[in-house]
Amino acid sequence: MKRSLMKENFRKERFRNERLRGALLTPSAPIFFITAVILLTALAASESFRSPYNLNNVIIQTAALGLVSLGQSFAILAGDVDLCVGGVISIVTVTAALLMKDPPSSIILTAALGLLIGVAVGVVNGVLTSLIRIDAMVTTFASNSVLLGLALWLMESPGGSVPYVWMKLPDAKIGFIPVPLLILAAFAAASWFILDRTAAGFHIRAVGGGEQSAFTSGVNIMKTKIAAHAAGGFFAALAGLYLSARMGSGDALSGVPFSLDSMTAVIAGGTNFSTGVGSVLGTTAAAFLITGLGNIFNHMGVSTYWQYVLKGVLLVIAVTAAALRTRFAERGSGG
Amino acid sequence: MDRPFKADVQARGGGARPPESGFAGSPALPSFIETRGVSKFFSGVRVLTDVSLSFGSGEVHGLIGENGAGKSTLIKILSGLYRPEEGTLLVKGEPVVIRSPSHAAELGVGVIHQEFDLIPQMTAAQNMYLGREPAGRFGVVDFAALYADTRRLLEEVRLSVEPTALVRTLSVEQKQLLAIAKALSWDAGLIIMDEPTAALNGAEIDRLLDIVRRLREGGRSVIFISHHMEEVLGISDRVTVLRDGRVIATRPSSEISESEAVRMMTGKERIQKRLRSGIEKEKTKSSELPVMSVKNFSHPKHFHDVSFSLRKGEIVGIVGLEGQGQRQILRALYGDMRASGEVRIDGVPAALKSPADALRRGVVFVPEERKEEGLCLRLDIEQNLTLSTLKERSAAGVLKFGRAAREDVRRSMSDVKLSTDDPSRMAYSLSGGNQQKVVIAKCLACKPKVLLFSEPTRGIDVGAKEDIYLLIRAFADGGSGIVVVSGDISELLLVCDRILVVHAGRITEEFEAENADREHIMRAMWGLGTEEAKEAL
Repeated sequence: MKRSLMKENFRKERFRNERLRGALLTPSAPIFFITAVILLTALAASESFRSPYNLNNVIIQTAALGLVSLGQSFAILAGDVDLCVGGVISIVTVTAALLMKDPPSSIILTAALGLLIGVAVGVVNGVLTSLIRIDAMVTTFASNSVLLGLALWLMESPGGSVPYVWMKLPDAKIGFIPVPLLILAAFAAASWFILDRTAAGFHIRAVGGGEQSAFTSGVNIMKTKIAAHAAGGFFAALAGLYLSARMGSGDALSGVPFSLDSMTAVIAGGTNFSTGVGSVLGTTAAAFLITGLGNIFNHMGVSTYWQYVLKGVLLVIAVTAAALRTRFAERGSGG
Repeated sequence: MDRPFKADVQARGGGARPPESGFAGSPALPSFIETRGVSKFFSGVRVLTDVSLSFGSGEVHGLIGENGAGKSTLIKILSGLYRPEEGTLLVKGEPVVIRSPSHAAELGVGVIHQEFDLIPQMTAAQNMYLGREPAGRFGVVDFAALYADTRRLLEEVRLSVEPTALVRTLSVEQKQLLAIAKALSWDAGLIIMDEPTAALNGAEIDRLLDIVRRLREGGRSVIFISHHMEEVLGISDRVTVLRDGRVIATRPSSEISESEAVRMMTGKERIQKRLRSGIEKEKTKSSELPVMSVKNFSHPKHFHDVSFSLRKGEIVGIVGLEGQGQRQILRALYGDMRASGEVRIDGVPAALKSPADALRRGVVFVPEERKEEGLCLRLDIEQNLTLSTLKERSAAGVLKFGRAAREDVRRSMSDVKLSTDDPSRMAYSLSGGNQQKVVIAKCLACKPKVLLFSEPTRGIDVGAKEDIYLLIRAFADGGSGIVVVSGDISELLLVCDRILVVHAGRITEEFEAENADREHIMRAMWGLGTEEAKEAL
């Protein structure tokens, strides 16, 4: 009796320790730590950084990258990569700038068209990768090129315009909370819910973690991959719409940096290729870090060139930290 | 062992049938699934020929045959991974075309594959219900149901892990039991178990066989595949022997003896006699320097104070229950794990800090996970053989090519008695036995002083096993010292000169293989003292 009680206590204790260990060892732990340290330091050290205007700016900038990165998470968790998010963003900003007019119906229809484009591109990518079995690296790279070309053909140089209401959207606030932050938070929560609480999310992670095993377990690989890529396209289109509002115009080249930046955010956020492991929260934190760093460097007067270098270094540090953590965890479990 | 359907089987479907009869008469029990004249080709090569079998509900049907005999192909057809070119499948008498694994599952076919089909980064519960999670509206997973169901099934196989445990953190045995629980969760009419005992120890095997019996009593059909003949014959009601893609015979298991079954599988008698060393006399020269000596070899976690020496031409076996540290000793000797203590190669102290170190000193490791560690499956035989000897086979960094190089490769291929002579065959298209032979040929090319084998014949059919034993002996006779870690005592008794027993990370006993007996070794493995062992005599 006494003994079984002791055993029970011991089990509880161990369980608690395991949970603690689990929390410390989550792949996203390094990015949370790094992001917190850097942003808090900047807040404490720089008056111009912590000005409400600037903080709002950081948020407005982060929302775009954050949304794309959420979509990228789906693709990478499914074991693929989505290199055409940039192309989708470009074509969607151009479409919005060309077609969106003042009446609310026009705004809604154009936005819907933009999202449809994103999802359609994602579906095509998913079909090519899963049915014809072309590597996602290749299919998405190719569709990126196609989309970029089309966007440039539609609009050679930045131009066009979007309705005034649409333009005001990024600066809007509900209470004291900026709308972009709300949008990002809502979609991050939705992504988390899909990836961690629904069967579809399990399937995406399973396909990324072991396609063969997932297949023999009865997971429909094609459907899962198509869904993951469609999510990638959807989020990229969402970011494109958001960018069109922020810029107030269309720009066929506006999407270009996002393909790589979103991959950086996802990987630095603790998601790794081909294991199906990674958290949406980590990705969002990494998006904040990447735009936050850019903003900080601007305040410090660091040139754009050096910002590229530092971004690269950051990526390496984050990935190294994640790799070390994994190795440590595996050694700990005595494998 | 109770076999409720035994009498029935004998009464209706039994009796000696002429071999090569193919279809095994009317099924003893209402058949759950039936194959009629099923044939399968791979790039024009017939791998299954006219297979007609029926698997009855409430029947355990053993499937035996060498690797490459067509067992896995047949299973893959039943589980929807392959589609046969000829013949039909009938589920409960209805002809069906099984389109995919999920379709097979819908039809009531559950499979426990050899490779487990578990996703390491996901939890036990997620794996268990992957592809058919209990979900509410919008596919929202019902975690309470998921965990409750998982817990119930884990209990059924008596696996005590939390449903939230990551599969990555489980041991091989736990993964095996989890895979079984997963198959049970399908609630399938037919459960196919491909080598379900390969990763289990004695008590766990009993537990598994219990589960199989329970399934039979519940009216399920079970297809049981194992390389352990006594297991198959013990548990199944009927056995089917496959050879070269054909059904050789289907018989009630009570009417077939082990040696008979082996003869049908291989067409030849199994080696019974120990393989004698060809240089027995020289070996007795104790003055000769050992090729490898290990002293006070310790690892904080896995093994302690291990000391032994290995002479030229000697084969030393290391045996222990699963997880007693024997594998880690081997890893450390190969430089893949740090350990304290001293290792001398040819009398010279050698710090083996990495596999590259070990290779440089002539210590070569033949891994048990040949698909992961031993071979590049997507390369052909020639490329695989050339990989570890790139330097010898190239001039100024450019690989030699042409006839001479090809001849070289062909020679190593025939040295290890590979069943094919085509160096451009892809490694993945070879059977397990032939893959292992390619791995051994690779090692041969390195001219090793010491060869370390880990489970050299795990998952390999009987005929190929014999070839591999002969190869190991030939290595020894060629002057290498050899260490074999294996869980198969009869295998060690067959090939080794000495056997060391490891228990709880220590070498607890040493036997001369010639006058060792199975039972003594068993007792030592279980950590039962020598005195008790003497008493048992």
